[in-house]
Amino acid sequence: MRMTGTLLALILMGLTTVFANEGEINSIFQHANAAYRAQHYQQADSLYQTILQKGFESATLYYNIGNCKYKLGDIGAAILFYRKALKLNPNDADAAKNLKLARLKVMDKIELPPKFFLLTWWEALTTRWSYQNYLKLALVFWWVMFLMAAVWVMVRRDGIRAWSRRLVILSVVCFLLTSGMGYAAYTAQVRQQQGVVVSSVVTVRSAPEENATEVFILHAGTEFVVADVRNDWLKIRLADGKEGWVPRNETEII
Amino acid sequence: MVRWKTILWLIGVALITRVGAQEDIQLKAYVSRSVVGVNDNFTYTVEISGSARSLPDVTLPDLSDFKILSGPSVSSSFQMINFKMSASKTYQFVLLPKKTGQFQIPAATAKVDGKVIRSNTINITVVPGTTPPTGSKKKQGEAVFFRAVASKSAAYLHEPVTIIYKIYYRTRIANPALVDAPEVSGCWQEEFQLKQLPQYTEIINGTQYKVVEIYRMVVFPTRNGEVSISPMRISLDVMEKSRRSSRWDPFFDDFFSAGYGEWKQKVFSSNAVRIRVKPLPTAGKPANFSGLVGQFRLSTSLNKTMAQTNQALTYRVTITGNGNTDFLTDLSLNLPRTFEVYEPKVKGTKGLNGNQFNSTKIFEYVVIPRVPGQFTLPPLKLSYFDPIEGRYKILRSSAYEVMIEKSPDYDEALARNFVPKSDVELLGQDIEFIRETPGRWHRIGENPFSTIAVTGLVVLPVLAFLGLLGVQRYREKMITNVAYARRQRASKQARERLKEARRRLAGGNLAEFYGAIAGALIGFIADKTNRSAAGLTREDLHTILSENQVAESLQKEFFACLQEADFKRFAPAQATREEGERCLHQAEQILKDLMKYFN
Repeated sequence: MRMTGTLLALILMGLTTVFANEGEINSIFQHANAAYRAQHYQQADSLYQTILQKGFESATLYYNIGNCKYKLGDIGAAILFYRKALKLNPNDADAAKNLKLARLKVMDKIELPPKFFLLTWWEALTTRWSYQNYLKLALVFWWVMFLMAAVWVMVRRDGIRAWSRRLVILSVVCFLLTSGMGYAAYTAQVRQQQGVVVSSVVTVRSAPEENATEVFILHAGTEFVVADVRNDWLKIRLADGKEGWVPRNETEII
Repeated sequence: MVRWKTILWLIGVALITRVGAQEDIQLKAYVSRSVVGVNDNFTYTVEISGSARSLPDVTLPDLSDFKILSGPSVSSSFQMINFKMSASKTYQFVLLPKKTGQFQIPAATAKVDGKVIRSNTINITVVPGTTPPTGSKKKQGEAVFFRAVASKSAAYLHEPVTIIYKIYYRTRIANPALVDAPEVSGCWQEEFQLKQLPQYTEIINGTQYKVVEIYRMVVFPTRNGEVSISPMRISLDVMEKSRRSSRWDPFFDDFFSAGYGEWKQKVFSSNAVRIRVKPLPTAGKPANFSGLVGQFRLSTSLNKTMAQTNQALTYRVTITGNGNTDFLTDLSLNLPRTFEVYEPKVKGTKGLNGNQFNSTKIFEYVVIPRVPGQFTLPPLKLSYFDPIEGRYKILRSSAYEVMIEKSPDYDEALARNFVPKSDVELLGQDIEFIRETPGRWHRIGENPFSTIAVTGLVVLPVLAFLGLLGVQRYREKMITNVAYARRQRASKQARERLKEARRRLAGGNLAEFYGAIAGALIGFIADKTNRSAAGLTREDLHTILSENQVAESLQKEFFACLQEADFKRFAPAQATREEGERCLHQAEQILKDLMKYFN
């Protein structure tokens, strides 16, 4: 009893600190919005950034910063923040549209071979929905499963028992599916680090050394998957499979 | 060992030929020196002689250990001595060692009357440097020497370095010939043929020399560290003053020997050139560094600024400077995407002005506008490294404003091919406006899903279900197992009966009260053992209590209480209410103690 009491107190304390700062954060946010409306993009950007410095984030905040960066002509950073917004909320249609526009301004055009349709489906399944949503759904099925099992145990009437048994089987299947998808989405969204080139030009090298052979050159806004990390170097993989090493400070991780 | 064998064999052959052949033919080989410096030449002569009218042909030995500077020069002579004619023929080579070490020149052979005769073999020792010719004077410095002069001893990577090969001489020289070309490693090399050999005079250590430049080359180091260029070796015919006159009188020496003397072929080696190569600094290196090192100028030109669609424009880019431009094959013009750019026509020229390298590169691009409109061709930016100032610089050409009009043959569908399809839809679209409501804030790095909550949500139904199963199981046992059910309920039942007894006592019915007490005591044992209360005799009770290891004192109390209850039940008149209270209290205590022995 005392345990739950302290737990509750802790949660309440956490909530009060969140609420205490939230008023301040919201007022900064509104100031930044006003600056953006007045087309003072630089000022708006730095105001939005102070919210990040205070330790708060939201999909909308990232989206708005992306817009500032786009208006300031920093396409690399614009793409980075749109991607961050989409990572928090994969269903953000505004961010998706602006990301598409920003990508048009990227100098490196990566030609992709046509993909097998099942692979495209799988990618859509694992990236369009955040893994948290899959997790929520899986939890719902988990509860339904036990609830139905309980009915099956408790109730004596044969008709209800048969139905509850069918529902248990169905919810087991649904639970396995959703948790599997959730794990796949988690792997695609969280475990696999992705990044964006933010400096205007970066030389990709064959090894993580300053004077290794130059393999190719990338420009701001090109997105990649992080394949390996060594000291201050990232091994990057482009969508078309090209690989190489770049200094970490020329890029940002989404 | 081998030599002895050869000699013995030679003696044998000589004896046989002496006996067998009247001609008496001899074959011998000799050299001018057997110990030579690696830069010294020497003569090797094979002589065949005999009394025959015609001498047989000589098969000359393999001389691949040496470089043949000249030869074989063949000379023949005839002599009549004591009416005996003798003839001789010599084959002479001028040889130059290739490297230091011990070498053997194999024997020359000739066929005489079907028999093979051999000359002697010769051993040559090649030592490093030059062995001074015996008796030569080296006081006033050498009459002739050969030098490689580099324009700088330290250079940045890819910075041009000019190397000039000069012959310094104070005597007459002639017939220069290349023996070993310099070997260049770690450098890109550019050679320049000299149409006219520059000649002038220089004073070295107080002595005036005539100088002739015979070869120039420009190298561009391609790796950091030190690169070296091996010496160049040439042979020259040098006029040497006759030795006799110099012994005669030093004063008249010059006077008489001017223009006199003998020509001698000599080999001269230049010094090796070493260049310390500095890497290009990383500080301030432009991201799109072109790789050019030197001083450069950039100029562009566009043949017209007004044109119609599908009409070609020529965009010319000229880069001039004193560094290497060979590797520049294409430039990124960054023209608007509606301009189609073809592969450039590239022309390059290179030259040497004094010891200054210069190169010019012209890129001629054909550019075809596909879409009408007003366009800005952005300035071309080209970065290079200036080794004199030691920093990177960026050249920037001018931008061009171009007006493209619609030509009669303008085809919108065709033009569209030059703008990617998806771009067409989005072209001219602006981004969506910001959102004014911030949405849900959360702390950075905080997982919106707390692990504790998730674990709770996962574990909770499992626990609840297990609990449910436990309850269900208990209920089923109670139904199906009477003994278990009775045993489980015994204590509860005993308490019920005692409560019943208290009610009876309160009601004043002592007979029923004592009956209830007895019932509670016996009923408890009956329930615990699943037996009928009526069927339990004293002995049965006694064995049950003993089996359950009930303490002796408690057993006594139990039976005493039971006896009192049984007795007073049938004689209630003898009992008082106070006694009843005491008995009830006692029974309560006994049952409470007994519960510890039965589970």
